[in-house]
Amino acid sequence: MALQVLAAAGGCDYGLRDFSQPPESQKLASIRSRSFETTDREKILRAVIATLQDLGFIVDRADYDRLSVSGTKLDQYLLRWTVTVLPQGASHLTVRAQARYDVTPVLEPEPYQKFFAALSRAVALEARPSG
Amino acid sequence: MSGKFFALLMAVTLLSACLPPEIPKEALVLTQENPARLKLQSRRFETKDERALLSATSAVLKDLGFTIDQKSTELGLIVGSKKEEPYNLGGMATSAAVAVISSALSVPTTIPYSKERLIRASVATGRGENGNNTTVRFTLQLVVWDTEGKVAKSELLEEPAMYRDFFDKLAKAASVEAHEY
Repeated sequence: MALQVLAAAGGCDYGLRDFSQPPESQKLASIRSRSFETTDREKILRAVIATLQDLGFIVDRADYDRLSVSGTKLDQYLLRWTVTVLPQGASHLTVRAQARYDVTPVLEPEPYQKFFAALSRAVALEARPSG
Repeated sequence: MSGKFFALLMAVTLLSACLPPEIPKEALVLTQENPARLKLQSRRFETKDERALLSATSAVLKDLGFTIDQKSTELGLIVGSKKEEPYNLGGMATSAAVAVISSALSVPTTIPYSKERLIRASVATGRGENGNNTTVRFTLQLVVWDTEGKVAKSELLEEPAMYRDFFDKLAKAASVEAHEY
């Protein structure tokens, strides 16, 4: 029985160690990213900033060299949104979003779908599933 | 039997501690910013010189007592912060009283109270329609930490005078006219 207790605690430890990078299914990865037919990084990053602002986030970090933007939403809770842009081939950019509620990763698809729909309007380009 | 029950209870307790907190549904409903807030936070400046406007923004934030924490000229973003003195004397008094009473009862207890207040400012610039002007979006937020280092309060500041004051100072520093949306 003591082993069972230790096993439970061990399971907890595994979860904590793995917490920073939760295992992503193929489906979840595709929900969190979209591909845009452009190589204009500045245009995409500025559109990300405008989109986050329009959705009520306060943009608190933008790094052109690292191709990333972060914003927080404060309303009796803390929702943090981090977006990174990655080159994809010679003619596309992949936009990857990750949301956290406090320290818990957001796995529901709806907020990501809403974000990418708004981003597509801001950048005036059609977003396609990445990969 | 009781030993098994205790071990089972321990296992359940340990596992439940591992579960992440449930995310309230309303936190994940992303909606477009309301027009009144957008109007409060935004201005259109009659200039194409975004870099000059960003420099003026830095100067105005510094004049208002902010420290510049992050600046991206390429993407048009400046983030600053300003510490404020805690004013929660009631919270401090309650915490001290609870500590004294609980100590007398040999059950030391502390109640956290607001310790540090930080006002954060975020200013994002963008190219306006037809590239003839520059848009500026200014947001202010208040974050309060308690004595245990946890965020006790966080909210957007929406006092119109604070926004008007900032935009008036920015228009003056940049020597350009600013218009509401």
